[in-house]
Amino acid sequence: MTHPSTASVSSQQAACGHPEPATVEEINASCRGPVLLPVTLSVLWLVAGSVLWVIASIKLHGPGFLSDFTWRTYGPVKPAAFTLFLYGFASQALLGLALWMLCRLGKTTLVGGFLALVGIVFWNMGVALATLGILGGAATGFEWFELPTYAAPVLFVSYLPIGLCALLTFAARRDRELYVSQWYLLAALVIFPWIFATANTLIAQMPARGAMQAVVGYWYGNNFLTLWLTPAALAVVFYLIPKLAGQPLHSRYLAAFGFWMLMIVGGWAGIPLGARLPAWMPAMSTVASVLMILPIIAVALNLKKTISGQCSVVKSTLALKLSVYSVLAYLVYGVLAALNAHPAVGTITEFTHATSGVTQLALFGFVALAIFAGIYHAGASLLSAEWCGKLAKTHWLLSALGLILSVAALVIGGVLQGRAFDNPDAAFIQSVKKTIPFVGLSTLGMTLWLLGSLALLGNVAYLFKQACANCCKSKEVRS
Amino acid sequence: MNFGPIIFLGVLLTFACSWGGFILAPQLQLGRQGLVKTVADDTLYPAPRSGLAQQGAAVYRSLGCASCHSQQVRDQDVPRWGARYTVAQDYLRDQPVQWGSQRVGPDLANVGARLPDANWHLIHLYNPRTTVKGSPMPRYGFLFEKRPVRGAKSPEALQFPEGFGPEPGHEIVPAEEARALVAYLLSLKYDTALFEAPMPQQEKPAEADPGEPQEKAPAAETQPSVK
Repeated sequence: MTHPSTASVSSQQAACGHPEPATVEEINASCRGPVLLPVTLSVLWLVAGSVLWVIASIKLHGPGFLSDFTWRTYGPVKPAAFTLFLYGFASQALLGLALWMLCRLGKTTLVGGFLALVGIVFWNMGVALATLGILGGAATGFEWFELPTYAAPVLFVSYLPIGLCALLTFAARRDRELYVSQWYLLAALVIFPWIFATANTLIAQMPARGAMQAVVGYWYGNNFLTLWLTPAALAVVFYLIPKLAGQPLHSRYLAAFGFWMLMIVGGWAGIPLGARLPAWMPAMSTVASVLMILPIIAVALNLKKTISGQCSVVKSTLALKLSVYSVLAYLVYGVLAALNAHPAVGTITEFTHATSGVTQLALFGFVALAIFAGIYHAGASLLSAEWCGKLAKTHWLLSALGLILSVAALVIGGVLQGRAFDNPDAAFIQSVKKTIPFVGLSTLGMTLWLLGSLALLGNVAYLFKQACANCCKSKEVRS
Repeated sequence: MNFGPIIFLGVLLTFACSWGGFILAPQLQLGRQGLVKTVADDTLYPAPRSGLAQQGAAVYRSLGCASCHSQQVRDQDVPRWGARYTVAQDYLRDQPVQWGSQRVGPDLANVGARLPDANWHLIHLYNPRTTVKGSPMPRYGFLFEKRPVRGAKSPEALQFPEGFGPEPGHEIVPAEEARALVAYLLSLKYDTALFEAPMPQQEKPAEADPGEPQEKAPAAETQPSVK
């Protein structure tokens, strides 16, 4: 029953030879650049990715829209949008927030901040290179690892100094007691280079033979979401919810159960039911996908109990509200993913928009909302400035509305599409025509999401402006 | 759980299990696959693709065709898409494997057998609405050249159905990429019977007397089943 805000670093630590905990000002001064740079750039990539995502979505029902050149057809645009979201936005923002949380939870200043800055600069160059490469036709054709052969190593090498900085900061923590968020961060930071190196080797650099490539692609995609983005996003919500609600975490044991279940089961999901592979692989994944509901329920229950009786605080604190919605999206995603893994449902929804909708819920709902919560909280804290309330409200309302509209449309449209597949007497085009109105609704949803992302970008600019104004004022006062 | 090293080692151990189970074990099983003999005539399967078709596979990848088209025939897909369900063996020579995860467009695993007409594919790529009314597939006009007819019409010029071709005096000729892509599409044929993936009609011969025992499928000529 410990939380960073409530756990005091006792004087016993100093007596044991541990250095005194760093103050918030010292922490902020050490990690301001290495956190704000990736967070700001991630918002830029989010806007760019959302623009491409909307274009791709329009193309699904309006094939003539911007399609006279290779790089403007649906084929390259969709993977480019997905890659920007995964690597430019989500991974980068979570890396920045991870550095910040490791400092705050460990009550230490950032160790090796320069290393992280160098890594972040190269990471962004890698993302730009990958996006241009994909639009130019160099994608690999594996949904979660579309990175061109020449861009993937750039991202891997860029990650190393960032990961090293994070691990050094973790090791230098002055509060030796570990909080749940630190477990998740440690896991995510160790697993990411492992899965990335495996995919880079067996998909991009030295491709495995035949169907084995597909296995690597499925394994990577699943673990990228389940054991990289998920633990990093969970670290954010486990950090923010107790802190902002002013309550200790409900149960550390339940948190430990959720953590280890995720670690044990999470890596086995991901192979679709109908994959043309030996039957044991989809069977294992089905079992894992259903079992995954346990850690998800453990997390949701733990955090629900933590905020029980704090409704008014949740409503009035934006970062807390976003964290709660993020956990809610995670829970709904868990249920849908488990249903999808069941043969009665999975045989209908496989290859349809429904699977895209469920993935979208995980990425744009659970992961992105957790990131937004982290950005709102960390940004204000690091710059000692206030966000624009109106822009923030516009952002989250548009994002939530767009997300719900897009996911619901894709899931319902996908189920109808899947049922149409199974009638071999009807022409295939009938299944496509059934989805058109739903894809149109998804486009509308993603357009709202894009507008929300623009509001966030505007708010980031506003925050920096406020910080500059505050800085100037304090200088005037001093002089 | 206050010991960083224990969490670190625990994560390493649990994730090593996933890596061992879904990377190492499949590599030992699928990575050792070799060519097998077909049921019908003992030829080695899968046969290599022509050079042009291999170039077409690269065009297929670079255009992102797998964003909309799957190449996987499941058991329940056979009536619509394939001569039989596909198995890992079928993709042994694919580089890269382009299984896809969506069917915004039709599955293409067996498209070479279902639609063997090269001209159909070419006019479909040039303008999908020519062959499939209401298709949301984009036009790939940039893979073709439109040019005035000088003298005799080129033998490579696309043969359009009435009302769809270019204006009189012009012809549409496929560029190298379009020809390669169509060669690849025509090479997508998974209609060879394998021990592990027999043709549906071979499972239940129409002429067989129900009272007579059915002939056993040839055994021991392929490796163990992977489906």
